[in-house]
Amino acid sequence: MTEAVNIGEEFRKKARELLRKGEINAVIGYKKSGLPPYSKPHIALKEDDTDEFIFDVNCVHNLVLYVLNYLLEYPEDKVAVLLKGCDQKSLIVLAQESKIDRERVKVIGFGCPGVIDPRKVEGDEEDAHKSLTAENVHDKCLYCDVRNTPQADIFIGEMVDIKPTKERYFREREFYGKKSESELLDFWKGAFSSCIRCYACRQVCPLCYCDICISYRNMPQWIELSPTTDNNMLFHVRRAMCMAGRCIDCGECERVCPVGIPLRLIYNKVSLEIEDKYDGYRAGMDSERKPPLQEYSMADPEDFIL
Amino acid sequence: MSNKKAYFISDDKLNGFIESLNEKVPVYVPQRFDRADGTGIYTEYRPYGEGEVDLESRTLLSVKSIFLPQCEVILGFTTNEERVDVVSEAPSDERVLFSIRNCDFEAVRRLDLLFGWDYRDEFWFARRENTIIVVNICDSPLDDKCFCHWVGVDPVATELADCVMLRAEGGYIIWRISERGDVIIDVLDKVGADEVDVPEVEAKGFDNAIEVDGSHNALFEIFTDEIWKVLEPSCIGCGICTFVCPTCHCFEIQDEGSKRVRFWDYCTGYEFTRTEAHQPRPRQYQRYRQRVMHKYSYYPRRFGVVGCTGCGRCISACPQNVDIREDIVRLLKRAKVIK
Ligand code: SF4
Ligand code: SF4
Ligand code: SF4
Ligand code: SF4
Ligand code: SF4
Repeated sequence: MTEAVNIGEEFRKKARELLRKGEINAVIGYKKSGLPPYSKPHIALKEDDTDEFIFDVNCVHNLVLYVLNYLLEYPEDKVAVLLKGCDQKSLIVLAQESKIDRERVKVIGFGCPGVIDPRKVEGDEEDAHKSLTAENVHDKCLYCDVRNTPQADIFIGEMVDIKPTKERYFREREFYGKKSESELLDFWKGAFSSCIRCYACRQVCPLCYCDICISYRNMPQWIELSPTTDNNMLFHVRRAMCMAGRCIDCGECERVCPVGIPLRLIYNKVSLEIEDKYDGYRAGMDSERKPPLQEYSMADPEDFIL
Repeated sequence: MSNKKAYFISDDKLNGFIESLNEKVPVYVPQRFDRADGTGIYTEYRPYGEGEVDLESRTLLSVKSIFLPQCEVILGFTTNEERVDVVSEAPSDERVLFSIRNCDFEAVRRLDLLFGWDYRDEFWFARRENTIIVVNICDSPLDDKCFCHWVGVDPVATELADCVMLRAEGGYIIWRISERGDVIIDVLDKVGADEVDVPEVEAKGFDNAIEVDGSHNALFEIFTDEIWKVLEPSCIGCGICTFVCPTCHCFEIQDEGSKRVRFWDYCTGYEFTRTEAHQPRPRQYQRYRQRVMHKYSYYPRRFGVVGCTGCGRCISACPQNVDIREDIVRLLKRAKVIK
C-alpha cells in the first residue's frame, strides 16, 4: 500500500487542469524514484509532465525549497505546489520575511497521514519503506498538529483526524534532560568531527537562502573553511542562531546529512527556547504574528548588552 | 608472471595481519564508524585502529582523500627571534593503502593526468609515490549502483597494483604484483597465512553497460540544449556528490591565520570560486551541467579518458536521488549517440 493516502490521482488531475488553464507556469510535487527514499521532487511545466506525480509515505522532501528556487529563477511566474502541513509552515516564514510573494504560490493541501523517516529504515529492503509503522514513522509526525495543510488554496482528498501521541520535541527534551554540560560538549564534538562541510543541511533548508552564507565570507573571515571539529562546531552554532524562531522542524537537514549528524536536536532545542522566552511563539504557525526576531518593542529588556 | 604464490588470510586473522603490517608501515584501510544519530554506520579510509575494519562496503568518501585531503596546509611559517621561515613540505612517509577498488585506483590514475598537466602538483605526487597500493578486485559488483563497466574500468585489473586481494570463502586471497608489495607478503608469511595458488578471476554480473566512451564530442555539441534546464531540477547544489567522488578534484586556497590551506571546492555549489573571483555559473542547472560535462565531455576531450570511474558513490550519497546514469542516458539520447 504505497499510496497511503489516495490523493495521487486527484493531484495529477488538478495539476493538469492548472497547467491547461495557463494561470500556473509550474506545478511542484513528487515522483517515484528507484532509490531510497523512493521518491523525488518533480516539477511539471507541461501537462504531460503531470503523469509522473505520486504521493505516498515516502514523500519526505520539503517542496517549499523548490518553490523558492523556482521563483528566484522566474520571479514573474506562478507556481502550484503540493504541501504537507509541516512544510507549509516554511512558506509562511518565507512570506513573513518577504522572500516569497504568497500571491504567486497556489498551495495544494491535503490530509497527511505522516511520512517515513528514511534514516530509520536505511539499508532495509524496499518493503520497509512501503507503509507507516511504529518503527519507521518520522518523529515529527508523532506530535504533528497541522496534518490538514493550513492556509491551503486548494484542498484535495479527505481531511484526516489524527491526534498527536507524543509531546512536541520529545526527543530533544529527553536528550537534553539527561545530559550534563560536559557530556553534551563531548557528544557534539564527536558528532561534528565527522561533518564533511558539504553544506547539504544548509542547501536543503528552505529558510537558508542567504546570497553568501556567513560560513563562506572571507573579508573578514568569520568561520574558517577547513572542516576541523572546531570550525564545524562554529558553523553549526552559527546556523542554529540563524534558525532561531524560524525553523519549522521539517527535518530535511537531518535527513540529508551524509554522516548522520542529528541536526534537529540543535534547531528544536533553539525552538524550545524561543517558545519559552517569547510567549509560546512557534515559527510558521500564525502568519499574523510577528516573528520575535523581527519585532521591536520598547519594553525589550536589554540586560544582556550591559 | 614471476611470482605465482598467493596467500589466504582468514577473516579471524585479518585484523592481526593488518596490525602487524601497521607496525612496519602505517596502513590506511576502510573502517566503520557509528553515525552520531545512531541510525547506522558509514565507512571511511582512515589510519588503522580508528574504527572497525570493514572491507566490503562502499566507503562514503573515496580514496581521493588519501591523496588530496579535504584540507591540508600547503604553506606555513616558523618564526624565531632572528628570522621567519616559510615552510612548505610535501609528505614523504611511506604508507600502505589497503583494500581499494579498481574504480578508485583508476580514478587516482586518471587524476595523475590532471595533476601532472599544466604544473606538477608536488603534494599529489609525493603522496602517490609514497603509497603502496593493495587493490581489492571485484569479481562482481558491490551493488546495483556500480557501473565501472560503462566507463572503461576493468573491475578485476591487477597490473598496476602493488598487491592484489580477492574475497574468497571465509577470507581473502592476497598476492604480490610489484616489488613494493613485498612488505605485505613478508608480513603475511610472518603471521602464518596459508599459501595457495593465484586464482583465476572472472568478473560476473557486470551487464547492460551503456558504452559512453567516444561520446564526448557529441555531448559537447548539446551544451546549449534546452534539456539541461529540466534535467535535474531536484539538485539542491550541495557538495555531497563532488566530495564523495574519486575524480572530482577542485580545490580552493585560503589563508587561515598564518597557514595557507587548500581544501575541496565543488562546482555544484553556488559559492564555487565566488569568494576568490566570481561564480561563473549563476544558475543551478549550469552548475549541474558542469559536473556532468566535466566528467563526460571536457575531461575525455583533454585527457582521452572519461572523468568518472563508475564507483556509484554520487548515486548512493545524493540526498535528492540524482542518478548520473539516468542523466547520461537521457543526454546520449538527446545527442543521438544512442536510441
Ligand atoms: S549535511 Fe552533515 S556533513 Fe554536510 S555540512 Fe551539514 S552537518 Fe556537515
Ligand atoms: S533547519 Fe532543518 S528542520 Fe529546520 S526548517 Fe531548515 S531544514 Fe527544516
Ligand atoms: S546531485 Fe545531489 S549530491 Fe550532487 S549537488 Fe545535487 S543534490 Fe547534492
Ligand atoms: S561521478 Fe559519481 S560514479 Fe562517477 S566517479 Fe564520481 S562519484 Fe563515482
Ligand atoms: S565535476 Fe565539478 S567539482 Fe568535480 S572536478 Fe569537475 S568542476 Fe570540479
